[in-house]
Amino acid sequence: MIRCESLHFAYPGDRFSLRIDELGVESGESVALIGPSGCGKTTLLNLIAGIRVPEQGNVQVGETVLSDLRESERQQFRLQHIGLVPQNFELLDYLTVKENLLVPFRVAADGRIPDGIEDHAADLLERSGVADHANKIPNQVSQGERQRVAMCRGLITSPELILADEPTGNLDPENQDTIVSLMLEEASRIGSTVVMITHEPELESRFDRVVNLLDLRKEAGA
Amino acid sequence: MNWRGIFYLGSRYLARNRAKTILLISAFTLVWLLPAAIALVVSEVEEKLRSRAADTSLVLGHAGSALELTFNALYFTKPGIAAFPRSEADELAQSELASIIPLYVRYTAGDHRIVGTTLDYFFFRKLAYQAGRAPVRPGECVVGAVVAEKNGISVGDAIISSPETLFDIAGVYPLKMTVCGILEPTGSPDDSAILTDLKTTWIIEGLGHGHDDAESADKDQLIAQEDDGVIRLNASIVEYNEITPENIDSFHFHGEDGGFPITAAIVTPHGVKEQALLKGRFVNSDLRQLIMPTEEMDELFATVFAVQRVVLWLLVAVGIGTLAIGAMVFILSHRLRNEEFQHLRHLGVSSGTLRGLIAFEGAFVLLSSPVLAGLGLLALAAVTPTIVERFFG
Repeated sequence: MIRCESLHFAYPGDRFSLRIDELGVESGESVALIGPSGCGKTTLLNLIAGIRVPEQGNVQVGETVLSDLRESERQQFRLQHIGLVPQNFELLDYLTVKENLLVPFRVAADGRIPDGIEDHAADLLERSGVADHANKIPNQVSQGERQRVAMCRGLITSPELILADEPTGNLDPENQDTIVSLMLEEASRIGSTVVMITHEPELESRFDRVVNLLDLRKEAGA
Repeated sequence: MNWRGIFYLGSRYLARNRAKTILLISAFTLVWLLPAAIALVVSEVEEKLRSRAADTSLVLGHAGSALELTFNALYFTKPGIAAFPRSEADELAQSELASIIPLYVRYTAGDHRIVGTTLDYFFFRKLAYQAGRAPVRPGECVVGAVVAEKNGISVGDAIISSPETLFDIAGVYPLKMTVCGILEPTGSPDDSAILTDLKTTWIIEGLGHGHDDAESADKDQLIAQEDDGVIRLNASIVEYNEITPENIDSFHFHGEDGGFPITAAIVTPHGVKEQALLKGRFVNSDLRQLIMPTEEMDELFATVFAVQRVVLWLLVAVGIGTLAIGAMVFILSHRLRNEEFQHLRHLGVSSGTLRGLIAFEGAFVLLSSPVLAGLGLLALAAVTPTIVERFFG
């Protein structure tokens, strides 16, 4: 599903650079991406999502080599195939919780909400414990609740690939378990591939594989 | 680009930030509306005033402000202008150069002006009756359509003139007048006027009065009986405040009609030559003036338009300032939303859609303001005639 080869990325004017020789994730596999802060986990996730483009090397998702696509094509690809759960939630503060969930459909090519999606959204909110806040705006709910809403939005399109950047960072252990269960259950139901960044060792066992980014960088001789 | 999504996100953003949106739209709406509204109102006032002036060839009055004389004779305002003897208007009529209609516009009944004139005025202004008839004796009056409607007046009802000096026992006393006719609406100052004959207005002024028969007065009402037959009575004699068929014979004037005051006379020359001759008579007069209302309106509106131009330039400057501030608010607001746009990009929203979103929000504010201004102008156009009529009769 995901294949990264000879990847090199550096932020302009920054000493940080990420070099990865090879990373592969099979279709339907769930991977916990770990590593110390600042080692490039979020950068790698952004490269896989096509938000950033490597200076060298390729990122392939499914049959698509993201580096070959123009920005607008990458955006279109992301909208159609990837469910992104950002670290900082990235919810729109002028929409309600429920409306935020439906944004990926609103901004898609036809802008229509497919039949059954509103029920699916209600189900996700219910299962993640924020159904009572469906009509509130994000500023009216807690950080942890926003985190759960961001997770629901990442899952609403039933994407082929779920990329989650520390989605449990603002949750207590009980809710961490709930949200990871929700994500993995949904992924299993629809056959999605999951890559999730986490700092919680107790969650690692829930994934098929744990990848330490330091190991990848070491292998690449970084 | 997904227009449905753009409309959805844009409208939701504007609705959530409705205070800012309403403020911007209101400010821009005023920028469009104010100059247009001023032009509309001025145009309506001009049309109203000019049409009345165009129907009136000349106005004779006491020397002084020609504009005040015009307003007194045509729009029944400025009641404080100096009066002059009716005989002077009669002399002009006798010259056979023009028809003369005297006017005495000084007193009120409530909010409505009492206009003393002759029956010729009704023909001159082509006034028709929706009920009743013209006044035929002192104490009768005809009311305009607005007066009748506002006060629920019917033929046979009474109207009492307003006392001018409440605490002055020698001042103007109220006179109860009988409504003998109601005029059809004309859209002119006549609608808001109470029209009566000159004698009635002179009675209101105290120049004429009626009271109990002096010769049958009690001894204690008698002050003195002069040798020449003049009887002097004290204040206990009953004075009438209403003219009725029973007491009308007791009403009398102390003096000659010709010496009693009028504030203006409408002068309609019989021809161009006569008009030139009449104007020539008053060119060098220090006491009287013969004016052309249309010329006064030209002069008035030349001043009004000059002021209007200045106001419009000021409004343009204020408008440019408002647009600049609005643009700044818009730009700053979009800078603050950079993070939000970044979030949408991460989700997969294209740059074209984001540009469309920004354009939609800007266009909504910019385009809705002229539309609202247009609607406001339509509403104003509908009520302006009523407002203008309220102020200019």
